[in-house]
Amino acid sequence: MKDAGKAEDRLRKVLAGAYLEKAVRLDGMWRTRVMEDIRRLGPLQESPGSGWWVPDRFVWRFAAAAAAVVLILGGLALKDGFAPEFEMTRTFYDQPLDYTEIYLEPA
Amino acid sequence: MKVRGREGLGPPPASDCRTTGEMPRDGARAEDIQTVRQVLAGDVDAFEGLITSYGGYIAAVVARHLPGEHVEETVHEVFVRAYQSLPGFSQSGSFKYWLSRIAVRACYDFWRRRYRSKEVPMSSLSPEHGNWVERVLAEDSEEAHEREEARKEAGEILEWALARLSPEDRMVLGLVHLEGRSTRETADLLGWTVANVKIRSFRSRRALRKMIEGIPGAGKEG
Repeated sequence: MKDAGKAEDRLRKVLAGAYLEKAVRLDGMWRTRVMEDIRRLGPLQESPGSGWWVPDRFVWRFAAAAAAVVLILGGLALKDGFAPEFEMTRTFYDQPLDYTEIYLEPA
Repeated sequence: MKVRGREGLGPPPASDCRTTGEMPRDGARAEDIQTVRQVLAGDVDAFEGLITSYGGYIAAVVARHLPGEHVEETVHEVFVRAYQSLPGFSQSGSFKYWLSRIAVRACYDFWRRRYRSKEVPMSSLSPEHGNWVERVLAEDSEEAHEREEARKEAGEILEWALARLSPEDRMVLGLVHLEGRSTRETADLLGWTVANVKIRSFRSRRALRKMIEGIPGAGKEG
């Protein structure tokens, strides 16, 4: 079993040798062609200039605050409950037709 | 072994993180950061400096994963992608490592496209290849496998086997088993989870073993 492991490792080394030695010679013009494409793309714009644009780093900075707000609101909702009776009463006064539908709907 | 500040030509160091299990963060080179800032400020031509510094390195990374005739177009794609993604480059990290991530993902995308369009060439092996595997498994001498013809046969067997793996398994087999990268670094390069890389690594290695055992003339060892 140990010999089989050693033999397999030997084969892996030989295959890895063949894999790692793969080399390629790039044509001398490739760099020029890449730069042609880059120039065609034009200068990069760090900010699109629109008033609505917010850089990624700011989005991530606010992500933590947004998560904290969600947790706090979630905690409050769990603590105080969702008060379904209050919701039902409000629906009854605001939209009596909807209330009847909800009430008559089979569970 | 960490290699610091190495740039440019020659094969990339597969063993950078092999012993430490860390990602090879060779630090942000001040000149790279300076060039990146220039490009971001609108100096498009400054990008050529980055191509000059890392073209050879990226070509070597890509050459390991792709057939020779597709290396140049992929290296081209890597630099165009890098240019377009430059505003997202964190200027505190290593530009070289960031670039190699783009290169590895471009290679993965290449194979996904090829497999989707079923364009992967399926070579066949002869009984001589089987005999060669048998000899490698039997011989004790390492030098015997260093000969040119041994490398040629190893290359053919490898191409044959890799063509039969999925693009995901193919990339993992190359990065983990053949280049010797850690699962963590492979996960980072490909943008996958470590668990996914571990599973694929195990699966691809087992598939390779099975394929090699199935080559006509390559008897099961042990």
